[in-house]
Amino acid sequence: MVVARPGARPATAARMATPVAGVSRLVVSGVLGVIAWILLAKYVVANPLFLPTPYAVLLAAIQVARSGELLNDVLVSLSYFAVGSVIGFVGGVLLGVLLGANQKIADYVDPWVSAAYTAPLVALTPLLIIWFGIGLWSKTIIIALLVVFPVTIGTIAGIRSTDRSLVEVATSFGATRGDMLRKVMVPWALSFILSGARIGVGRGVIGIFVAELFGGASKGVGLMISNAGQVFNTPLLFVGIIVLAVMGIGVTTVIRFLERRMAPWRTQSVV
Amino acid sequence: MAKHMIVRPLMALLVVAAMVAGAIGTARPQQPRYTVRFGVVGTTSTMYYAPLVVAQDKGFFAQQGVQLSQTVIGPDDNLVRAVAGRALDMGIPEVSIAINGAAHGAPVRVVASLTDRYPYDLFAAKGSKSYADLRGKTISHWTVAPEVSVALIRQLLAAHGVKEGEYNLIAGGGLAARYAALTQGAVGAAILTAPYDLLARKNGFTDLGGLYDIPAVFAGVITNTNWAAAHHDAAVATLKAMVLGFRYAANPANKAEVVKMIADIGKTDPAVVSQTYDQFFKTQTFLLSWDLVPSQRSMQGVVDILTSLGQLPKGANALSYFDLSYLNQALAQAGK
Repeated sequence: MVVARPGARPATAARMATPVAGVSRLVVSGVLGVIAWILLAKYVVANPLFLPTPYAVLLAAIQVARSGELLNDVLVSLSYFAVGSVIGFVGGVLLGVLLGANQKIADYVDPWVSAAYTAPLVALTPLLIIWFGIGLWSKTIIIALLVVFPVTIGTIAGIRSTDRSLVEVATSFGATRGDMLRKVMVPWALSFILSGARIGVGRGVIGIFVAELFGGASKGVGLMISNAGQVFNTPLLFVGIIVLAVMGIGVTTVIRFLERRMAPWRTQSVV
Repeated sequence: MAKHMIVRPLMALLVVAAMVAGAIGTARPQQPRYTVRFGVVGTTSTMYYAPLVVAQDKGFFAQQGVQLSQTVIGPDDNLVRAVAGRALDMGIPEVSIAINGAAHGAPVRVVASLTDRYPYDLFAAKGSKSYADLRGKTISHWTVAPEVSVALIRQLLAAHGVKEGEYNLIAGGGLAARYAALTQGAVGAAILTAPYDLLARKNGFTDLGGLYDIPAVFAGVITNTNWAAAHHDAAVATLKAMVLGFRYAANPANKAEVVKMIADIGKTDPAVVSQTYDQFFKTQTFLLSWDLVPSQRSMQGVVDILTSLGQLPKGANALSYFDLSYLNQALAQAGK
């Protein structure tokens, strides 16, 4: 028999951090990260060619921001990312609902989805340029391909895990197949879909870099990183990486917010 | 007595056989004395890699006591970083990138050169017949970074009246991707080299001109200066093997064999590789650095372009970034 230690806190959702505590931990994490970076750059790596200090990166960021190039590059990359992510998300949800709700179709298509999810799709970039030309479409499709499959897999998992009692209740109230999907299964699957979306947009951010590197770009954050690397401007290379990371954090935060608003019944459990 | 008459000659025969076997043993490639970690940025199926490919295939590295551990690491700046960080001892990147790395504190020097010029041509779509036709068009290159090849393209276009801003230069990926984009009409022009320049010519694309008109060393051998100082003989032996490889490749009597070596690596058509052999070793011999020795003009050329791009300080001297002392010793050992 397991006896709870006196005073031990229960491992439940009730122990979730308050917003203020969450922010303070974020700040502490950031400060510790920067201190570790400074120590690594100054005393461990000790070569700015391989790891610049945060100060050098900050100076490079200010310089590129003042010139207007950074904003220009960010806007270009964001446009690819936004279009690609939306296509990937919508496509992923539609495909996921179809496969989650129809076992026969899933039997045919599931292996292809699994294969496409794990295959190095970025290797298709040269072909995508030929198929879709150099411009917005080849790049957005690379991003969409990276986003679509995690969303599909999340959606399938969500649809298939719908609470059987809910299905039975809806059936007993005479719900049609469409009603069942719209009013029971898709709402139930929302948190799964958004979890898939979070993974998907993470891959989409990598897609920005790949698309701009191999997809015939003349502007963009990915290209900025590549160019900075080629001319050994390591601080600028780090600026680009940080910008992409911030974009990823921003989009993920928005999805988390949506998750809390749209699927509030899903609480996080921590121990 | 009779028994002795048979045994003694047999014993003598065995001793002689053992001595002959020993002598043969010493004539074989010696045991490796040096292990050299060597980097290349991609496939070595281009003809200017012949010194490396032939030296491996013909056992010249082994003859010099070098065990070459070859690694593919790209792009060029990553190879330079790997050499600078002692993950590799030597390698073949684009020389201008190595010089730029050295200018930013990387302990690397260029110790030999494979090509004295950029062996690239500017090919335009079939409808374009002159440089003027490139106005408003997209030109596909492997990079748009402020580096030497981009400067050469801009100089070539400017020399024919097409100014920066009148065309759109894009980073179009590798050679195959750029050729594919040109053939599919996705771009108005592309920068190509062998074997795709031959295919482009054969298929009627317009060869407007070459980046090789301007002297600038392209691909070369670099080393980590600290490693080379501590492993002087290994660096010399490696370069000697490559010089022997170059000389073997340059001998017209070996053409068929060299073509087969290169074609086998790239799984390419030997007929096409044969044409690239003729291009480099017969018709456009100025593209190569013969005996791996770069010309003074091309060494200074690449440094001057980097200076004009603001990558190097004004008045930069090529000798600060090249160290040909190892190559000179290798050449002295290799003889004429």
